[in-house]
Amino acid sequence: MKFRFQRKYFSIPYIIFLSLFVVIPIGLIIYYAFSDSTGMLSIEAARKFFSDTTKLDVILVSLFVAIQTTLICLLIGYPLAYFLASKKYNKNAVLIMLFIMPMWINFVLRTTATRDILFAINLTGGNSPYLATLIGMVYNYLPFVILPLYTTMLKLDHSQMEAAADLGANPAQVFIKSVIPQSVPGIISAITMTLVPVMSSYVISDALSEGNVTLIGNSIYINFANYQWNNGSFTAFVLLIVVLVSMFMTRNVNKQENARGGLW
Amino acid sequence: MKNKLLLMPVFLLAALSAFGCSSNDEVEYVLRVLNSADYIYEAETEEDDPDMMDQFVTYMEEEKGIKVSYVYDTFDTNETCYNELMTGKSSYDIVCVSDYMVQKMISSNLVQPLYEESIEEDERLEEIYGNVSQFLWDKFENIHPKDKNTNEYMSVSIDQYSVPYMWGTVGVMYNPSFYEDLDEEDVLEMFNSWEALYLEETNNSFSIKDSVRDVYAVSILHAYYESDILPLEEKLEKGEISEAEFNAKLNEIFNRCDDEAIAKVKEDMLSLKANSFGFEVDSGKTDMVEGKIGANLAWSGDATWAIYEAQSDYETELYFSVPDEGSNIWFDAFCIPNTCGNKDIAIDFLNFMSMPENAIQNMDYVGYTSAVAGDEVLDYVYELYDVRGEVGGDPLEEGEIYDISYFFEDRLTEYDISDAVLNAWRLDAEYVFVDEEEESEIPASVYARMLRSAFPRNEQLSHLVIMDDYGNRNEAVLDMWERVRTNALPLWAIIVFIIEAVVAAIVVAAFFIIKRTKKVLRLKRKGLKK
Repeated sequence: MKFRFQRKYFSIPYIIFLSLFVVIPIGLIIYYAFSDSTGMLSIEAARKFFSDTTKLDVILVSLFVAIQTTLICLLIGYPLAYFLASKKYNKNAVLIMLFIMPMWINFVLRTTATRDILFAINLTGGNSPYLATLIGMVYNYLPFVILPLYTTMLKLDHSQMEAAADLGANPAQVFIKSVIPQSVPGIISAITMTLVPVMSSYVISDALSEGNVTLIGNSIYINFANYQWNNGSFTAFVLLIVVLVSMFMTRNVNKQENARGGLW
Repeated sequence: MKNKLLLMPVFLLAALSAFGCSSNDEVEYVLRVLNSADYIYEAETEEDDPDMMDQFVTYMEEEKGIKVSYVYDTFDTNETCYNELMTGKSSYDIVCVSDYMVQKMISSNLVQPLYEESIEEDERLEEIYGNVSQFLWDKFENIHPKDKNTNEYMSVSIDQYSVPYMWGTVGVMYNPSFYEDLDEEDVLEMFNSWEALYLEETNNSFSIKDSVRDVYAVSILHAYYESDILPLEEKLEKGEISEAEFNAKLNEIFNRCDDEAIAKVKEDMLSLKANSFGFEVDSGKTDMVEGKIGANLAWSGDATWAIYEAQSDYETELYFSVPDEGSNIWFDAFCIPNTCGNKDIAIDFLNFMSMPENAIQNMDYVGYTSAVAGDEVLDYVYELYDVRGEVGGDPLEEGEIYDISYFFEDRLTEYDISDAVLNAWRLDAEYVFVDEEEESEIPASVYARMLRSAFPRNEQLSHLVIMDDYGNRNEAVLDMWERVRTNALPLWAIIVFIIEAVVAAIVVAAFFIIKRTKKVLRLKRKGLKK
């Protein structure tokens, strides 16, 4: 029989990729999360997770750091993206390049350098671990906030804004009623790009807080480094659920705002 | 552009042929070694001797007529190595892990004994045995793995399974000039006790290792010092118990990990953590060299390295001390996993690594103290640390007695054991070595400080104890450790959190209220029109 190429064959590489690097690992996480060290099914890890305050503290600290990082990034990134996308500054892409350039440098390197700078101004993980961690996090995740906001801002409907101004809205009203609603998709992608990754990162917080701020990522690492695979997997599983919930929520918001299509 | 494209196939060919070489048919065996990172001699410039592993390949070809090649992988912690063997994702012929991990690997049945019945069945093993210090073998004979199910000690000991490679102690590395408010002598005195890490004076100035075993060692000795260790010391002083008995009792205290001990250690660790600057994974020694921190819980080998680096790069004087209360003595050893494909070549490798000249080269490069003892090693020690520079001659006035004969017991042939009592440089030595090649000056006191970190004092041996694998208490210890490593959210952060939540609630509420009132207004207006 003659081999006939069908269009659906194009999907084969992607299916292989997805199953190898997404489905199977997640399956393994779930398997280890709900089994004990002998490989039997068990909810021991779950019981342990909910039975003492260690994990609750870890989650609270992670949420705190993640939310603060996201807020600060938005506060810095939003106006910046707005101005960079405006006609006056958007003549060439050099400026935006400058802001996302740190992304091209290995982040371990960047973090080590940040640590040295913070030492020089005597702001160390020893005396102010949260501040040091937040500075490192904001520095690392700012490009991920600026970029989606910038692309959304480029697509702002200027005629709507002009119409609002013509009909008597002052600049503040134009901003609140026209610019912000139009940029919601960008804000949403910015939040998804920072909130969860910050919670699960551990190199930055370890290096900059000198081990004084323990995020979920650190907790998972401690468990895996000491062959507590089941406990580590259950924590990873909880994080996975957090990711799913946050994705679900953002999808709903996006729907409501009848998605203008963010970058991601 | 065109040129580049033309060159491409040439590069490809070169790459392919290089690949072809490594899978040469003539190679009889590929030895797979798994070791800690930076733990073996490697050539730094082209004029240096080739890498230790390449030297082994040459040795095998020239001496044994066997063509071997090698795969050399590294790991960062013993636990990673254990995971690697446990999952079986890669198989190795040789792994190098710490004493407690050898115990654990034996109980998990991951490694095989070196010999069937006695070491006399293989003359290479006898050679290895003769090269490595008797002091270490004696220790190894008393380290028994724990049974996986019962947690009782098994009858085998780890010397049947492993060959010591490097050894050292856990102590405090410190920088007296960092503590400006204190006299240098007071600082030296202060760090002779673990108590130093709990004092107001050192608050926020030192980092501790982000590794449960090392911190546990400090905390258990500190927590039980007054109640258990001090009475023992008094007995030892009065002569009621011998040094060996003292050591055995201290060992028992040191290895406590029942619920009560864990609770006590936890309290102690929390106060240690509160006083410390933070936990470090591997930044400790470079932070010390650069003068970022004043003290660091360190392994002796790292300290030896850091003392030299700090002096030659920053002219900072670092010291290492093994506190008087006692400390952990540890060993790294080679063992042969069950996955080993050719035990014969693996033993050749162990034999090669225990040859004095290779051991010295490794020791010199890595900075840790090699397990190999013998005339050549003593020569090396003399060259570095003794006032006279070579064995023999009358003691000089600049030096002081530093007895390390325990390490060379039964291993010296040309020299007498009394030669292993060094006439070492004093800490306050004023002599300066001039390195003409690098145009640098190294004061002799550096070597005095390095020696104190490389070899513990003879008088301290009774206070050095081995920390067993926690066995089935591992999980309880780790839970405690995770608790210690985790912080509750501080009050100010909770307040920030609450304020944010309130602001968010107000914004959302305002949004809905405005929306609603507008709707009402609109309805009203419509109503009015009607």
